[in-house]
Amino acid sequence: MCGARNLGEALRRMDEGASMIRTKGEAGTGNVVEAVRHMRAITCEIDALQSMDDAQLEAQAKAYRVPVELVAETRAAGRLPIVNFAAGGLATPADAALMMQLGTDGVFVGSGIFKSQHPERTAQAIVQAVIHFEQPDRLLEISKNLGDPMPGQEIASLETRLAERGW
Amino acid sequence: MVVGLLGLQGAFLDHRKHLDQLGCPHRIVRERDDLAAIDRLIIPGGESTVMAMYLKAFGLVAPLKQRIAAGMPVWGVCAGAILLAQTVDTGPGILGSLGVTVRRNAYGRQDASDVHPLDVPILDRPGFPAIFIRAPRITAIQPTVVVLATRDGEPVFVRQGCRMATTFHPELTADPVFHDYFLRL
Repeated sequence: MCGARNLGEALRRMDEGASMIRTKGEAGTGNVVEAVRHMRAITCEIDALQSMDDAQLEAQAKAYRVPVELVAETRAAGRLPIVNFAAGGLATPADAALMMQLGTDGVFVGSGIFKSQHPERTAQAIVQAVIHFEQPDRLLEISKNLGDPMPGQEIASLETRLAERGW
Repeated sequence: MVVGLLGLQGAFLDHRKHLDQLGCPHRIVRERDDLAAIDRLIIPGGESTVMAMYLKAFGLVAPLKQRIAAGMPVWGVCAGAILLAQTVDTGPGILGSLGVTVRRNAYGRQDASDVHPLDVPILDRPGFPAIFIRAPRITAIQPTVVVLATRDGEPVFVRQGCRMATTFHPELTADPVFHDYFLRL
């Protein structure tokens, strides 16, 4: 399972053998904005594939440095050909539901649970939010009585951005 | 006819492609109210313990049992077969609607998962590439259960009236033949 911030990264990891992708987000921040950014980037790039002719697709595959078959498969599926979980900064049931609405297959939540006031309740609520992400009334109920979530950090004020590390 | 896909956890979305191909409408089932809108149900593969937990939490166990008892066709895939079974390991199953005994994770850990060529005469598929993922084993069946395919002599595709189970994942193979069979139950 490998991280990705855009379609090129996701497809290169797949080409190397990844069987699962996580959009990176910005881990440990309790701020979901980067996770949203990365998921939107992938969705936009897959949408862009739809209007390409074969020559353009070939050029795009070269730009992504992956076999054209993989890009064609992605275009045909209209999504990443393998499972994608959203990670990095999710801290609330609403964050989890938001990422599911953006089209991820699931979510990873670490510090968003452990650094919340009531980790067990928060974890259960996030799992339920993934199941009921399309039902606002259920999400409202799920989000009640959870205490304080993990405090979010401003991305611009971070000393090290994990999403840019590890190369 | 609308096919419900139990959408609490697991590989429920993967069934859509096959049903679309067969021109069959489908909807995801997460609440009791959803049950009224479906005519058949696929219980997908995934984590049977997680699905069991939420079946109970969302009050779905009793209404589901009722619908199945009233004759709604149902198909359990892998974990779904575990949920349908009468007996699981040594205890009673969650829905207890299919006359089989299953043993969970019976082939071993994840590295024992494989693609196994399966002869399925009823679907005219010799050597169907059946995908087994930490699959359960069906270790005993009631006399009214019909075995439709076996692996090493053990049942892996069974049917009892309008209830069927596969311990492997036909939704991960492009061929919609199992879905077609289910729609004709």
